[in-house]
Amino acid sequence: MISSYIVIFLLFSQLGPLHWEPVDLPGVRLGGVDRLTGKVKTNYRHADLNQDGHPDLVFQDCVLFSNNGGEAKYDRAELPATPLPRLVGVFSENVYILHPNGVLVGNYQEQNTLTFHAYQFDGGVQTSVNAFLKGVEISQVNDFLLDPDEDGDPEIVVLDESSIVFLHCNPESHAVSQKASIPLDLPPQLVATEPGTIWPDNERKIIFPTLDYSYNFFAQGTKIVLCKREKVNAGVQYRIQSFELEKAESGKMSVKTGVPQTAGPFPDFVQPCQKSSEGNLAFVGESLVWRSLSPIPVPIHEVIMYSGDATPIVRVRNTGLAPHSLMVDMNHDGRMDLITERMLLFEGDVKEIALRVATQRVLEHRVNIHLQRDDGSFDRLPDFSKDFSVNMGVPPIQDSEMFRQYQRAELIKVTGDFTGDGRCDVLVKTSESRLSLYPFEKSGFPNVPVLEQEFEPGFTFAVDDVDGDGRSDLMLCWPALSDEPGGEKTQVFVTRDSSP
Amino acid sequence: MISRIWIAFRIELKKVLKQRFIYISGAFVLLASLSTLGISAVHKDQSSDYDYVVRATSLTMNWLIPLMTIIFGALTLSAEYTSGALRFMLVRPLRRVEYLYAKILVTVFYAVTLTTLAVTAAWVVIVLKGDLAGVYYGGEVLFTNMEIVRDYALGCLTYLLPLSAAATYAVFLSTVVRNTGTAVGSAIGLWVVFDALKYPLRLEQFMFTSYTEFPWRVFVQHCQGIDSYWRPGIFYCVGSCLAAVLVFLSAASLIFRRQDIP
Amino acid sequence: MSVCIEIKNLTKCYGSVVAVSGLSLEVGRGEALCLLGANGAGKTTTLYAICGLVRLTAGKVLVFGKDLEKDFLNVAPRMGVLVERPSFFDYLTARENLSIAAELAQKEVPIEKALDRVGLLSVADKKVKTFSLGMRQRLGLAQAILTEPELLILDEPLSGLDPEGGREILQLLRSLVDSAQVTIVFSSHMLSEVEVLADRVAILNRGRLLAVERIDSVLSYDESDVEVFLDAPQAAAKRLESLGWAHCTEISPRKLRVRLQNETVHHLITFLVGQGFVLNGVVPRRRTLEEYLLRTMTL
Repeated sequence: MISSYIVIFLLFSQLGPLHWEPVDLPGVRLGGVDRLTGKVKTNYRHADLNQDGHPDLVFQDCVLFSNNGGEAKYDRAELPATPLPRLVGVFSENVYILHPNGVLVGNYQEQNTLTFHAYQFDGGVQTSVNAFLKGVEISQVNDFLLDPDEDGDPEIVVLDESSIVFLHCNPESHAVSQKASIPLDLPPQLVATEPGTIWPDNERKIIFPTLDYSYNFFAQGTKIVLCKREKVNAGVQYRIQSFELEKAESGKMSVKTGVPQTAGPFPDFVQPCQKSSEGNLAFVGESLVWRSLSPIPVPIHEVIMYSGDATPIVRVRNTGLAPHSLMVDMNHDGRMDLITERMLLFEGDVKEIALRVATQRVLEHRVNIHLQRDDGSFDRLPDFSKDFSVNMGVPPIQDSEMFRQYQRAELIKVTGDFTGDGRCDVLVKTSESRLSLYPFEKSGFPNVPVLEQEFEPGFTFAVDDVDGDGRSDLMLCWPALSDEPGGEKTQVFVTRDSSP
Repeated sequence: MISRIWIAFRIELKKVLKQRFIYISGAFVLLASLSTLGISAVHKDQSSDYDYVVRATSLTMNWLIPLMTIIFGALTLSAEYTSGALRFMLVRPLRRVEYLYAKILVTVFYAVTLTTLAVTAAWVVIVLKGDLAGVYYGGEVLFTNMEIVRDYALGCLTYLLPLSAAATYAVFLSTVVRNTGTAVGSAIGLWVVFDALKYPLRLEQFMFTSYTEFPWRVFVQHCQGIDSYWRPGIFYCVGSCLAAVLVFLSAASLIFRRQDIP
Repeated sequence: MSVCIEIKNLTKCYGSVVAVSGLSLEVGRGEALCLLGANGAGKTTTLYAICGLVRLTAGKVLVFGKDLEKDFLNVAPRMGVLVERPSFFDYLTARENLSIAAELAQKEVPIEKALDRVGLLSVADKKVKTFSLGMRQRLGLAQAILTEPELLILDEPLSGLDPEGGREILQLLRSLVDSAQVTIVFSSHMLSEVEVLADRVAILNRGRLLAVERIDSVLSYDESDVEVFLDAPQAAAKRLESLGWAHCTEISPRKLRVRLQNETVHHLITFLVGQGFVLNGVVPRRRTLEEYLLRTMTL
């Protein structure tokens, strides 16, 4: 039956100059999207290791070298075995493997092979690394490399029970030594029992943990910002502490501690996030209530954003459930824009809602884009709106898988840039078997999609630039027909220009 | 022609005012409006009590008044067919279409009267017993009281369109179906059929039945702190309702003019 | 006499049923015409066609010289209509019902006078739903004559009225014809009323017009059929039978009915006087409408 999962790839209608082309990349996995950053969780990282101008893919256990660029063909090279658990990361053209006994740094040789150099931990470093790796799965790709002193060599950032530690690989001594540390004020018992809540897996670079006693860590150039969440009577507040890291003599980094600030109080669902590439912070939260001014309760989703004090800079309420992403830089201006969505299924009063639930097969859904202004403000009214029609096949009352995907906000994704213009486009699963692409242009969205393509029905999809060509690609996933493990099928489709 | 329609309308009005049905339906609307106080209590406590108006509007404007308008409209001519009183009117110096227009006008008038009653009841209660202080969330005013009142006023005006369409539709059916029970049954039944088919056929934007709730949508959503817009729905509302009025009016005129009166 | 109603080749079908077929008829002003015929003959349909309640399948109806379909608004104010089983707005009073008719006529009309003429003034402010069938009929007549029309279309105008009331209404209608030159077209099954009210009768059968005749012609004396009041009817009968031109059809103690063949009443009287009989009177028999109707319909 596996053969039945082979993708039926039909070019339904070539509306524009693009199409999606299946490529053989079986190891690629695209996970969920961080709703406050729009960042997709992946099991690979891009790095042009062989410097051929085409990014290669680094996985937890191997590297796929792109051998002829645009054709999306790859040569596989295994990464060396190490003690587990371990983290694999990339920086510049090098692959880093952090494991309990040290660090391996690999660089390209020739004929798509990597040569690795081993680095041993200095005495005090081992404890911090062990604490850090406690919460890591057996082997995973991760962003644990930063270069806060901007010397071109990355620092390995780990967390132990009392501090964030910056480690450096010394190429001369082949030793991994501590370069700087930032103290944390954590309850020790929490670190011991729940390291993941302090610094969750796979979110090392920018994190938005929601649990109490967690820190949010933001790195922007030489600046590190820590936000500590504290419960107060009226909700939560955040203690913000910034650190400036500079290269110092003797191979160390100096840490200058900034003036601590307090933000809030906010409702307890509010979290900090980076509002722009300059590192400005905002505090964003969303809540969902089922409001009932008519006999049918209607979900009302509220997004609220604060700059620092308790007065919101914007509050947007819509009928519907949570959208796929809240903050995305839609127009590529370096500022995160606010995405809100409205389920038009819930518009109106009980009669129309009941009729839609009982009889409407094609649901209307609205995506609103609130652009961030130069001064960091947002307008409550959207700058751009676009209504999309999604054919559910059957009315919502029949609770189809398609409708469940719709409720989980899996049908509309705004984080991809398929046209390569830097602006995010909206990709909509408009029916059980069809994806439609609406580019976000300066004037808004076109009335008709630039690309519509049919696929084998029943898929879920994720969006990321898999081949590293600057244009987002697709990964489609079909669920297993039975409970048999490994029965699900995935397929990557890369975005390509259509031949004339 | 207009003077004859006006005379016929005045006569119809006098007739309507002599009927018990209009007073019962008025009382029913008032009762429905006030009964929502049981769900949305209204107090002088500095917080806005728009919820009460929203619920009262939902019950009266979205359900009762359209339903009563349809019943009233469906009865207008069919009742006179059944009783034979139509002959009494149609041997007078009055064109049939003029009488038809007067019937539609009086049906609209009936609907507007009920609407006015519902609106007055809701707002008198909230003014006397509750507070009108704008829509607040988290201490932030999202919509001022003036904006809410304006939304409601615009809703009232817009509501005339679907009401007129409903009135014309019902009167049209009463020209086609001469038995009162069948006329009322088919008016309600066909409305339900239209509603049940409009979404599967993707005709909801063009079906006048979709717009009985539309005029209050902005008001209701603003009361819940949700941004809402008149456009583009208002264009479809105006277009669909006017088209429905025209279609049903033309069809009713054509049929009624050519009909044999038993 | 000028023409008030001119019906040209009127045909009215209800689906496949032909109610009236090719009817042509003229009614003069100030004339009372009665449509006679069995049930389903097309009387009511014809009346409905004259007052514009049914659409014509074919033909034309001119009232006061105007095409009814095109010029209804000019014709209607001059016309009063009472259709079978008069219906009103039952929840209104008699006065209110009449005021509706007055308002639509757009002229000042004496509602009290109309009610008084039909004997309903005392119940003017009672709701019509409390009225009996006869009262409704009277109110129907009141609304028909309310605007003092030049033409009255009446379908069974005396239906439901008591004999005395019927007589009053008959007198009223007849007076309208005689004194106000009102044209009346009506239908009735009560032939005695017809004989009083109608100037002409039109016989309809299965939608077709069979005959139109003046009522005085219909009700003329038959001089070949006489009743002779005399002292010895039995003896006179014997003598007459021997003549050959006179047959006795009925003999009673003081009267003899004689049918004459090829001879006149004068000869009969001369013969009987010559035979010594004492004649108290000789009366030619009057023809009846019923006879005429039956004869026409069986032709």
